Amino acid sequence: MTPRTRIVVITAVGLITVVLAVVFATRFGADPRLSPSPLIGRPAPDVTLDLVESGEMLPLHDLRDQIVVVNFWAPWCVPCRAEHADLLALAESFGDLEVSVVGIAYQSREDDVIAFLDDLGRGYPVGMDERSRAAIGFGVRGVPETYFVDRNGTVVAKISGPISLGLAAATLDRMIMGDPVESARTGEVQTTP
Amino acid sequence: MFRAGRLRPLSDRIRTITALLVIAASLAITVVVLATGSSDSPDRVHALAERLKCPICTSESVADSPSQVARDLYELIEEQVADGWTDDEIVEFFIDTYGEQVLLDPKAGGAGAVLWIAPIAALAIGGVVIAGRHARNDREITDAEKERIAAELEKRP
Repeated sequence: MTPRTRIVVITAVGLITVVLAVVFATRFGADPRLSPSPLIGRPAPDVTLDLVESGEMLPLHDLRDQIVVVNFWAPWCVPCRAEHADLLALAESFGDLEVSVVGIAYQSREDDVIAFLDDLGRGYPVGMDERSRAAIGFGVRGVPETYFVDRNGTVVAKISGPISLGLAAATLDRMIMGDPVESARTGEVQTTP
Repeated sequence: MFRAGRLRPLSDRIRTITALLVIAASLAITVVVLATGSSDSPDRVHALAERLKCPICTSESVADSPSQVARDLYELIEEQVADGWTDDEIVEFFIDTYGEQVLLDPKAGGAGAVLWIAPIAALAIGGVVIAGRHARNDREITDAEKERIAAELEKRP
């Protein structure tokens, strides 16, 4: 190998090493559970909820023509307890503006869901997720996760982690005004009890 | 009748060719097994579940994970297969909901192509380099080089 070839090879190997180092350094910290949803910009899945206590069936498509906030949560999820009061306040504040908040209990027993609601309060419909069909349809990777669906039934944003009243209200304000909204990551999601 | 005798040592060239053939045969077997393994599986549901990553796990497949979500996903795949969905339709359904990260093996197209092409490219480059070095080593020694070698040997005490 001539000295010139050797320099070219060493430089090429060095460049590849640097590129790989940058890729690994930037991607290793990324949690795939907090990735953006491929559902953004696409129609919301056609799921039907079995509402707790009433036993009524609520197809999400019945809420077409309204903005729908779909919150996946679980009674065993610690961040879900923290966000519950904000979701109650959100449902109350935006109820007159044709905004529906819907809770979907992920990987939960109905008794535990009712106990959670007894403890922290009721204010919007909560449905059980039979065989995780709603969670699979939305591509849920953990709880809490909140999806914003516009009046046309299109998913426009996803919030991974606990949602605050401020963030939810700001997102809804922009949707009502017809402005573009962005997904966000507010913290960790919990995958198992 | 077999006669015991001294085996002649193999030349470097034969050893190299043999090694390359063994490597090429191993790669060919691996590629053939990977390419045909899933479609010939007696259990399509299990084969599909092995290709999909459990969404709440780090690197476990839907088939291997003991989580309830994985069991629900497995059950959905069973229903989709029973309803006549093709393998591609089922895989696309999960990519549409969870993204391409749901695949345990990255797709051959797009950004995933780099992961498939890079090892093959590295192997090809390595092969070219080795072949180049051998070609250089195997060439005839020129008269000028013979004279120089002879001169150098004469200098030795």
